Amino acid sequence: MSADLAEGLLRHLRGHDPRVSAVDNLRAVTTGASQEIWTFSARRGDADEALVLRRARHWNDNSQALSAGMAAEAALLRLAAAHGVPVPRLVSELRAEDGLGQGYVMAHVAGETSGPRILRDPVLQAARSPLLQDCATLLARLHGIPVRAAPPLRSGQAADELRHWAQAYRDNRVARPVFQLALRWAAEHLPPPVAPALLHGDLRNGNLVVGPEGVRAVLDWELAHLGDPMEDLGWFCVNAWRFGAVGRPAGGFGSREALFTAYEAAGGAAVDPWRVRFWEVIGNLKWGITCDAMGLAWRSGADRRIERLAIGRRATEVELDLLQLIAPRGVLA
Amino acid sequence: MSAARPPEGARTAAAGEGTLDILPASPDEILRATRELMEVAARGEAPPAFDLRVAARLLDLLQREWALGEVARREERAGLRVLLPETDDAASDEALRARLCERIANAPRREGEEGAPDDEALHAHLWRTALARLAIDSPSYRWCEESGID
Repeated sequence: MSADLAEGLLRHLRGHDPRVSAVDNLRAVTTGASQEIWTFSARRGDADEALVLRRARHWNDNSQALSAGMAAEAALLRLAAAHGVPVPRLVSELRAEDGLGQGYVMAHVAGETSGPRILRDPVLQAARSPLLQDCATLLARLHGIPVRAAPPLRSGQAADELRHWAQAYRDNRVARPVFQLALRWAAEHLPPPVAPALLHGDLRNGNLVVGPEGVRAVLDWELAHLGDPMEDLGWFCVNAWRFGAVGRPAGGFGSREALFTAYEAAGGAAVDPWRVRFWEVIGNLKWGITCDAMGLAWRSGADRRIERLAIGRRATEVELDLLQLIAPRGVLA
Repeated sequence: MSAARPPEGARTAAAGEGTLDILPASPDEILRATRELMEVAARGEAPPAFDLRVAARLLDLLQREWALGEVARREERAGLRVLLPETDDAASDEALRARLCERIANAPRREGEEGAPDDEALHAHLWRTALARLAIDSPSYRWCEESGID
């Protein structure tokens, strides 16, 4: 399988640059949960270039429903780069005649991507305050990109997202009173629509490449869409992405206030903390409902990787995070 | 106290009637998945180290389930029966949870109150149940924002 892929990749790359003579060290990256990621090196003359193949994967019927699609992702990488948002350089897009499915090839950006390691690595400790600043700046730049410049993407304001995730919850057919309470809370705190902005949709620690100097690249653009810019800020604060640094709500890097201040200073829209909180609740619901869906994908046989079961059990973590947001009771005795 | 209809989004989000599935990643499913990995290993194929680490962690989880699960289940059930006095002994845990979901989705909104139904007994039950499950599913998970910087 991977030998066929290496051969196909070589053919594909040579179509763009006949000097490419070999594809080596092709490896599947296991952490890519919803899309396939392969790392490899391309030989050109005496030089090896580290590259990444990103390819669509289907793990349940619904798994690609919210995805921007590979062509849109590739277009977004070009657009983001042109607006000063750090992203991997796009090398080429797969074509139907390549016979490799849908996807694209990009440059490999060296650096740390593991969320927990970024928060605990002593070398990166020094980088932590730039990380908050970098994320705020790149979010402000991204949200400032004219929507008309974006590739075709779905639109989702607060009411649309709530409707989608309420349906996803029902489709799971697993009764979770905490999720139900959070859905009701969200319905009662629904913010009005705003002028849509281009959103990353999954901007968080864990989708960043980081070096000691700060953020080198933003990865994983599959959930990009048009909507309320506060959605990206709320998702950034979801506790699951703090990896234990609970007291630093903004991605494990700092306070919400520091994030909001830096975002506004970088040219972002005025932040309404309550709207961000709404999106933090929705963000937790998304993650919790997805945990259930992954556990159920094992049950249905759609995805028998044992990790799906481990993720299924993480829905409980989300219940605590949701309760803290919508029914706080302070520090427990 | 005057009551208003709950908002549309919340009402349509009710978990629905009929049989509901048990929570994903049941003990039986964890054992079966672990066994499948062992069968792969027994055939002489090496399962990915990542999968084996996940399996080991899930077996730790099952040990906690054995130690704490029965008490957690009994207490959740007792809490559900207090909140839902109209239900009977024969109702499954899933049916009781589904009933509570319907109640949460359909409870009238109280005048002058912002937010979801503010029911102290309900919140206390949800907190107790979630904390008991967390002690099994993910005891090292840090969730309390006020508990300080890592």
